[in-house]
Amino acid sequence: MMPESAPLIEISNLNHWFGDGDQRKQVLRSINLTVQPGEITILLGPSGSGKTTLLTMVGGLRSAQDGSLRIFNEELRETSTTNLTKLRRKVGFIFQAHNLMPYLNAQQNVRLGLEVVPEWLDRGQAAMNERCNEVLRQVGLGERIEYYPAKLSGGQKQRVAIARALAGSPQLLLADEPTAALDKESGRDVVDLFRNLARDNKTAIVMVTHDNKILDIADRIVKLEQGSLVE
Amino acid sequence: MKLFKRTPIAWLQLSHRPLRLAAALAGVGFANVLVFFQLGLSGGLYDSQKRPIQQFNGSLAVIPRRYTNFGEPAGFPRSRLLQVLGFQGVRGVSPLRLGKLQWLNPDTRESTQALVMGVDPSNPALRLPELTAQRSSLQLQGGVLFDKASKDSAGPVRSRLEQGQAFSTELNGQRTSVNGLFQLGLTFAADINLITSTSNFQGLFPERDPDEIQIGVVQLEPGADASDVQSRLNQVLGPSLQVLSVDELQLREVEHWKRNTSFGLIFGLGVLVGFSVGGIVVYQILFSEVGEHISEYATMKAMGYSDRFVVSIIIQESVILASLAFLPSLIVSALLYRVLMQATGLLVVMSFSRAALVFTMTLLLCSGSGWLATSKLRQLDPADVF
Repeated sequence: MMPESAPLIEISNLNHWFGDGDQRKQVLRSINLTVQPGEITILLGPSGSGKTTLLTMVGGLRSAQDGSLRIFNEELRETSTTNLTKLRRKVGFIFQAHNLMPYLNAQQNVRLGLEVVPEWLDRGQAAMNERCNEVLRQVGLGERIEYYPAKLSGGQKQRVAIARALAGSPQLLLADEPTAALDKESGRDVVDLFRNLARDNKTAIVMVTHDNKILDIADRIVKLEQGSLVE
Repeated sequence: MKLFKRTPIAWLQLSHRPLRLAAALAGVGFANVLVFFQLGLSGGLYDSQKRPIQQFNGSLAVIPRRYTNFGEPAGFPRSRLLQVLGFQGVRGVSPLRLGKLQWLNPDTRESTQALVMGVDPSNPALRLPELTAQRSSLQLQGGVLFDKASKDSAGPVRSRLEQGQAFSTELNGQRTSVNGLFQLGLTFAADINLITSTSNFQGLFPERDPDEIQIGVVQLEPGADASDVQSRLNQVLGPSLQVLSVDELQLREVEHWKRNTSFGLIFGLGVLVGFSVGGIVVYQILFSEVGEHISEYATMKAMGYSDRFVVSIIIQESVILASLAFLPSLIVSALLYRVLMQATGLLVVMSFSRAALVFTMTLLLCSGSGWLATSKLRQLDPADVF
């Protein structure tokens, strides 16, 4: 296990480029960032500033090219795709688009987030279902457990996607505009859930948002401008 | 078992759109039926060649070395067959005389080739029940028994006899009456099958040596070891004759026709077309399935599901399609075989090995199509979901 004090994310001097040759374009410049367990970091910046790229790299969706990027004490630069896949299982993702499986009901969609974690799979169906229902209740969908995405509103779908990310109680939660599709009240509920997760589970949360109403939950707000961090 | 703890994603994805699933199953099922149809017809054509031999009244057959097939057998002296009598394990022998003649349809004056089988009425080489029942008609001077399966070009023989009327015609220029019917089934050898007694056979083929026979059927004592008797007889009879088991003779007949006809190739192409249709249907369905759900698959990859897992969902779907489509297509094909058998008179029957072959091929082909349909998935970058 990691010692309590070890940072969950350690980024130093990270550079990243898209494209090759003449088309090569730098999207991240000398990023340095450290996030501790239980810390909530909000990432601001205009579109095209590299927020999403940084988020995908921290989540192990892209491997790092230059500099150092460590999550869970593991270096992600030039790591194997197999290892990246394994690391992602410890990360909860909330995407801008909900990306729910249309052929699975709310509970089954959330369960996909659990089944990818071997420990949860070993606990069996009943335990997984119970956990799914619990998280769905927390996001206010206790009455919609067996609904298919087609029968849910945009905000409800987004909340199922949030439940899917939270079900496995990940140590690291990455969210891209999680409250964009939500009304004021359920947006607030979700933010409270994030806060509880950070406090009780020591989950580190990195969130991209334009939603001024939720900036107050951040322990730290960082800004990206043209690929550089400005605190 | 982790398998059963998991959400059955492949099945849920397929069954979520029941109409599309039904269309896919119909497509794969249709392809299966097409394949079964081709295999049934070609198999039927070849298997039907075995039918006279299947009716042999014994377990071994003595044939001349120069034997090629049932329709064109060389002859050998009956005395050579009698040599076998008294051999340990041999209970009896029945000679079979074979020859071809032109049959004249008295209504149209057209002639058709007929295969004449000459049997000893008291000891027939063929096990047909009609021979025992109609022994007296068989012995009537100048008469033959007529195969109900013969081609219609022979004339209205069957209907006349079934109405109790007489039917007579000219065979090899000799007045011949049909004294009864039997059921055997046609082979490539001729379009009409006739059975007659030894003495009538000699009357129909006066130029032949009365002692010449074409095949000798050997009956064994109960409990005798057929392969042991066969090898001892082969030694004793010498190089001009050979002794085969009845099963071997059937196989040899099928092999002869496989070598000398191109039905295998023609129907093989049909089988290929059938499997291709099935493969294309599965590919189309799964390819559009992948395309429609591409962002969800990317999400699964982002969540930490491996490439292999995501690809296996599509492969599972192809296996489900192949398996679900198989049973209905097997039933439809079995019914189709009955219709074919009645319509063509060919021996078209469903065998376990044929069903197993088609199932295995469908399974392989569908998984292959599934694999091709996942090319997009394998290249999919999970970072694209953002």
